Amino acid sequence: MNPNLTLQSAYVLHTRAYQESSLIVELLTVDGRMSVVAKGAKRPKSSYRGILQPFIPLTLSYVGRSELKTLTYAEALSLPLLQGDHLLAGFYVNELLMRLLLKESPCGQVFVAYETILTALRAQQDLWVCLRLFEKALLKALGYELNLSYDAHTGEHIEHCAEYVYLLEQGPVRLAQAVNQDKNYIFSGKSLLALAEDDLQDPHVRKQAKQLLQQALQVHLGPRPLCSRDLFLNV
Amino acid sequence: MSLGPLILQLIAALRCLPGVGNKSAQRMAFYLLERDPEGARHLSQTLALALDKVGHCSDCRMLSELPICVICTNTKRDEGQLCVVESPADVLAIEQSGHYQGYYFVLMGHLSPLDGIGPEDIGLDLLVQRLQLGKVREVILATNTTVEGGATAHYIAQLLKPTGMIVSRIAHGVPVGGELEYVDGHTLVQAMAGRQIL
Repeated sequence: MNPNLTLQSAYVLHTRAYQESSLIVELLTVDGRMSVVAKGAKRPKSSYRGILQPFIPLTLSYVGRSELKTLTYAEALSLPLLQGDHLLAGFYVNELLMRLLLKESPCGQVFVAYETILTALRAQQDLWVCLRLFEKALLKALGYELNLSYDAHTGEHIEHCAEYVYLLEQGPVRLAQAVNQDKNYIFSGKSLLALAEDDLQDPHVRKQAKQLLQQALQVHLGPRPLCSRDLFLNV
Repeated sequence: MSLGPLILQLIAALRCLPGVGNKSAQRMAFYLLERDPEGARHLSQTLALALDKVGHCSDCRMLSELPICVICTNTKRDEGQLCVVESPADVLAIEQSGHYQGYYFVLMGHLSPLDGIGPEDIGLDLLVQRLQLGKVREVILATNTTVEGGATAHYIAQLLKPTGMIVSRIAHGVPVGGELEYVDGHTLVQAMAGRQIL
């Protein structure tokens, strides 16, 4: 290995075959989403074999100035396993990042949120809590942080026992002030405050948090559905 | 270019093969035209015939020139076992080992949500239909040991859970004749997790 190369941490989001024995790898790094070519990665004796897979923490280096760079070195830091529904959740997280992250735009906060959720998924923690907290952190890191503390029209603090309509891109508005709203857009003050505190123990809070976060993400995802959502059979 | 259009067309056509670039395609074209015209004629006829006749088995999705493939029509096999694999090459690999006596189901791929490949694309509706016939006791999931292969196996296991059928996944671990020292860490973790009591 060339000692002049700088190594950095990365995760594989997605790979696709390229030519006979190479892969094009989409990476998540602190510097953003990167596309690199891993030459010969599918050859039986390649040093990349088996490690250029999602969810494995890597340390690697690449060269090149164009959008598609060339991988020069990669090593797995550990070989953790994701299993069962937690593995499917990992694909959902990767699909979100592939759809929402711009190429080569630095995203240190996203990287931290990604490492946090992978650690939680490996430890088989409550799947739905992990996913909601990641979605919330992702929105914040992308600059679309949810307003969960004050009424968007009056500026007053959210009240525990009041009901709110969440106007996307503005924030919660007390129910009496907004009429003819779909029931799916009504959230209790309790749920909003609990989500602000990352406290999702209550099943009702969890359900409302899911609705709210999915609506907020939908704005940025556009009309094309996320394929990995279809893989969860027991929801 | 000093070559005629037909020769150039042949070279371009040969490049559709995986791993064949311009230079290899040129070498193949010249060889077929100059040295082995008989072989070339045979190749072109066989290729045309195979393209017309070969389709997929309606039971297991394996490549087959008959509506139902040779393995599925063999009544001597054990109909209680169904092995789910990703590709026709996997069927051949298992068949060559000569030990497995059940039937197969070929997915022709794996679940890959980021490529937009979902359950319908790998024929899981057909798999469920086949299992509803009630003859299969055990489904053996022999998907690859990649992350996607693991996700596919988990999804199928969840899908079949309500049926109460035995769903197993092939073991992964140290290869026969392999020395532990040279086995990668990931495989060793799997081997440890899947250890058996003697």
